[in-house]
Amino acid sequence: MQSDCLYVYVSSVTMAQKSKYILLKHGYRISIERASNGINGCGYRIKIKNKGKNAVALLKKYSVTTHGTSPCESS
Amino acid sequence: MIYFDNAATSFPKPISVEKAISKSIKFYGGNPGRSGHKMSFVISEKIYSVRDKIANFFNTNPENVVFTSNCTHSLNIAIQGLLKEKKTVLTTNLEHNSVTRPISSFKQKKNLKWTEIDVFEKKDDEIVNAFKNALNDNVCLVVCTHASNVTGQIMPIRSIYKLCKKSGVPFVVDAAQTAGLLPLDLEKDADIICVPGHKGLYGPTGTGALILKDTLPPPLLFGGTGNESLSPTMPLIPPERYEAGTVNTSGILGLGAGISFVESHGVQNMFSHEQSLCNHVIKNLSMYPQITIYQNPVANYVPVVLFNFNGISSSAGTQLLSDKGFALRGGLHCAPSAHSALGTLSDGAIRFAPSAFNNMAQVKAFCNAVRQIISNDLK
Repeated sequence: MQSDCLYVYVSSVTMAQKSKYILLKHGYRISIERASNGINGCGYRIKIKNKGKNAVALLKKYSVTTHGTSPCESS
Repeated sequence: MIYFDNAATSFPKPISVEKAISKSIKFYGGNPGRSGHKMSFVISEKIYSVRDKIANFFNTNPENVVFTSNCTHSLNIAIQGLLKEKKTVLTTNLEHNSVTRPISSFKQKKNLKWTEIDVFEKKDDEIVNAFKNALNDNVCLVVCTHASNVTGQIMPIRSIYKLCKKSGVPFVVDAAQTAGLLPLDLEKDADIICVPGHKGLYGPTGTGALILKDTLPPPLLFGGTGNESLSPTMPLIPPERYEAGTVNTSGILGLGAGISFVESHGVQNMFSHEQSLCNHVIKNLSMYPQITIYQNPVANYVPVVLFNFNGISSSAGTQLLSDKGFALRGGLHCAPSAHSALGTLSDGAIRFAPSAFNNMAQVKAFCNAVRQIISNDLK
């Protein structure tokens, strides 16, 4: 469902990889992309394809510093 | 050549380390954390998996693991970043130059009080008490070797850390001789642990790690990190805060394989194996009045044996051993204050340091060579 899809922005590749590990472990479908907006020039965004809003809370629980979210672009 | 210089750097490396490095050069050519293409993501993931492995090994989170070029690099970040003018730094008197030179350099430029606590051949409770007595409101930093690279004497870091925590003073541990041989836990043992990748963790030279949590010194190097590029300053959070420039990807993947090797054998087993080799050397060399062994039963040691042939310098002794096919290190081991405590500052001493790859047959051959040197070369 497109409405469940969310981009979560993180500043570094380490946080992106950490997010990936955590989210995959919890059954999320995700992919990582390079991002230039919202993170002081460049960082990463994690495309969370399901249950996006719950994922942000989960990442915070694991001390992942996030830099905002945005809805997925419609394809 | 039979290699017993593993306290300087371990050799040989596990085949898995060779393979990981080779694979990295052949297949993982991207730059981690820099680009959005698949090759960059693949190597980023590989690097993260080693970060995660190191984090598990030292009981912390992956983002608390900073890749450095060696233990000295890690110590410089910690020490240069945490020393403060008009304050006091506490160390032991067994520290390596990787600790003493950054402190000396700071002291030459700025007002700093440096107290070296005499721990040489002291019991653990005496060492802890000495730190307790030295800690005061003016102390800004405590740096302590986990085990002397000269004598192998182990320091009671967990107890010292408890004192430091109570006093609110950052505690930095130099784990150059213990990472891979003694358990280390960032929660219980230190605020910052500095480790080499190429010794007891069996990675390649040019690798190391700075492992830290809440105590964040300022960065030592500045430059590109692949993130927050609009900012004129380094990122605030580790590990990128301390990783300016492209990291040593091949070395890091080799280090990951080295740690897997250690994990597969078990830290305790590695220690026991090397200790049994050292015990044989001590038992054998103790028979000769022409040899002095530097160990005291009141202290605890990692598996190294420091000794000298009486009447000749350590460099002459290591040359004789080298001529017979044995690689050991003589001299001062970059730790003059330890040799000063030992009384060997003028001629140094010979260090026997085995690894997981040495065996009893090699040790017996070594003891035999020592016997021959005593019979034929010493007068």
